Amino acid sequence: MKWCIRLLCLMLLVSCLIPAPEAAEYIEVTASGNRQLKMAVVPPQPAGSVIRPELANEAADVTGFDLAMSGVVATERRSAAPQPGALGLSTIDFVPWLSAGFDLLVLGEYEVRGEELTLEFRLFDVVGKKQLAVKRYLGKKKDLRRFAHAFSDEVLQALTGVRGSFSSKVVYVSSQTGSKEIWQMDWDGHDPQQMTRNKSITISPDVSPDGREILFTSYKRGNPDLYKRAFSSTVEVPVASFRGLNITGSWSPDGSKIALALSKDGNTEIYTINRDGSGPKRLTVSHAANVSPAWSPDGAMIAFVSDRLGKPQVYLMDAAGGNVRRISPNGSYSVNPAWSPDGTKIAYARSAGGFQIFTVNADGSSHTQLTSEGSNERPRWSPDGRLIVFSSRRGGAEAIYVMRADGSGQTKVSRSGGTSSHPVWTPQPK
Amino acid sequence: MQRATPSREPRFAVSITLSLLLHATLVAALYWWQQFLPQMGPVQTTYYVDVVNLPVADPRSGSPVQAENSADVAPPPSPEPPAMAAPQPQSRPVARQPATNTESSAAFQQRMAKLQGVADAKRQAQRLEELRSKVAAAGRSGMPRGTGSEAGSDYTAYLHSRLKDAFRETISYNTKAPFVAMRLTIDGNGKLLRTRLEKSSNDKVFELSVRRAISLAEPSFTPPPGRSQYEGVFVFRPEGVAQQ
Repeated sequence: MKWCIRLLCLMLLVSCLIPAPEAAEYIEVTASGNRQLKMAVVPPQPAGSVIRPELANEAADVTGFDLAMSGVVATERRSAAPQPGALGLSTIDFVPWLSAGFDLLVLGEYEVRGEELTLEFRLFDVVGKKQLAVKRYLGKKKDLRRFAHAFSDEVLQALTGVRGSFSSKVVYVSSQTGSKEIWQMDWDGHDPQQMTRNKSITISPDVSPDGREILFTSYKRGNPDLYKRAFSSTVEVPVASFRGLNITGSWSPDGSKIALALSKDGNTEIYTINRDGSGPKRLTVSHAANVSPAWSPDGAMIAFVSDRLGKPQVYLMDAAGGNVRRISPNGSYSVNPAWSPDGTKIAYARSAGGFQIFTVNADGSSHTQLTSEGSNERPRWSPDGRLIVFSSRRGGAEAIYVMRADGSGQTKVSRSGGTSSHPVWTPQPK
Repeated sequence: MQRATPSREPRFAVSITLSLLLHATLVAALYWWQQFLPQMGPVQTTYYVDVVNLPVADPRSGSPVQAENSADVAPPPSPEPPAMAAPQPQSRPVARQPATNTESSAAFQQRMAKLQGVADAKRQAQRLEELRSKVAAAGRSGMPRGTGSEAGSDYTAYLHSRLKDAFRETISYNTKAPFVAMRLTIDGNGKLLRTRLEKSSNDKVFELSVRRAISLAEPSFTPPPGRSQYEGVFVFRPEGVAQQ
């Protein structure tokens, strides 16, 4: 024991005697502004004998559009002389790209064998002359867009450490068949697929946190009841079919509970039920209507809409009810609250010359208007929090639009006829 | 019965109204004149001056105290005349006067001022010498021995200037308070030998923009002073972001 203490003392003495290295002089270099990195996206080159330039161009377009919408980089589609097998670092001449002002470069190769498709993408740092990401996808030709979206997610992961949401889908309500049904599509509006065929009014979809099930309200039996169904199945299971309204169902972040609005006791109130519909628990006690519950990402709070002060306003309460406080400004209608994935902000729609999308900090401060054209409602955040999907009537019929979280880059993505509304982003695929 | 006196108020009101009208017309005319006449002021031209121009290698090299037998050393500067010393009277031919035992009052004052000036100059020279010795004893500080002619005394500031200019073109970030500490090694010919990332807030986009700034600035690097290898750590961050 003594020996140990002596050794420790000796080490301490030695450490005190050794002079500390001279602190390095740090020179601070600062600059204002925040430009976007410039990325060149070159269509993948054929690796085999089959040359399909339309596939290569589509892959480059998808990746370029995804990454441009992310707001992280400014993309530019560039063509390059075909150089089979030229994806190696040693064979790429970065100087022309550097001279053209590009920071990043996406190259790729593809090979088509019948219906099979092999697609490889590589992301290069032009300045550092190094490879930042590489992915090879094997599948069918019809998976081309999915591969390109997946690589866009990889690029954002490599650049920012946060994976993109471009592989996620958007579930929405469309009336293109004559009745309001649930549909799903890629985030950019491609590949729309009808999910329900109730020939009735089906609204307010919400996707479970594991991405396997959706909730929705349907009038198919006359009463607005809440149903759930798996993406892989067509069986619709009633979850809440109380007398009166069973609307605006919302999954809790852990998927164990559902918050919804029920009018079984008179006026519409917020309840929670278990995922199988059992154990309803009333959270709000008010003479007014309370609807549209939205869980905070940590499951500790619920945002909802209530007209207890005369007009619909957005309120917060604890997940068990109680501690109710208003976060939307007094005076105007405020509806459709949606929490950002990091829990710091809430997007909602407020009547301001038609409905407009706003964001507000979770503490009720800093209301920011994101839209101003037409009437815009039902905002929902993408899983990575970079984008917001919403429905808008700016072009006539209601359609689905996507914008960046700061309101920039507002783009119409739904392409179908009829009206499209109630968009919800599915979670990122595992 | 009182006689009605003519009221002056209508005339006063008329004169006020006229005055207002005239002034309004004048103001409108001036406004119109300003709108339709080009600006006649002097043309302001902004000149950007790069103050970092590598003037002196080491202005504090050398010592003010010179070796006695150093032949190649410039002589120490002669003491300047005292600032407040009385001006030396100009000698001019004066008419020879018969010698007198008593000086005139003006001549006496002149002689006293001359003596005072000489005494002040001696005192100042002595004080300067004392100061030089004191400073020389403390270490390097002076000019005479220093070469002081090669460029690069402020090489770090020079690099900072070039990097800042390039960084302004490339800055890009995704996080709230990004920073990157980059160690630059520059060889004797001004060529960037290597860059090493010392510290980073892990904002990849910001790191890329910093690397690009260094790449852009590199062609403007000049050889370090004495053509010796230079190494320095530069911390890049957006303007206004607090140091962490």
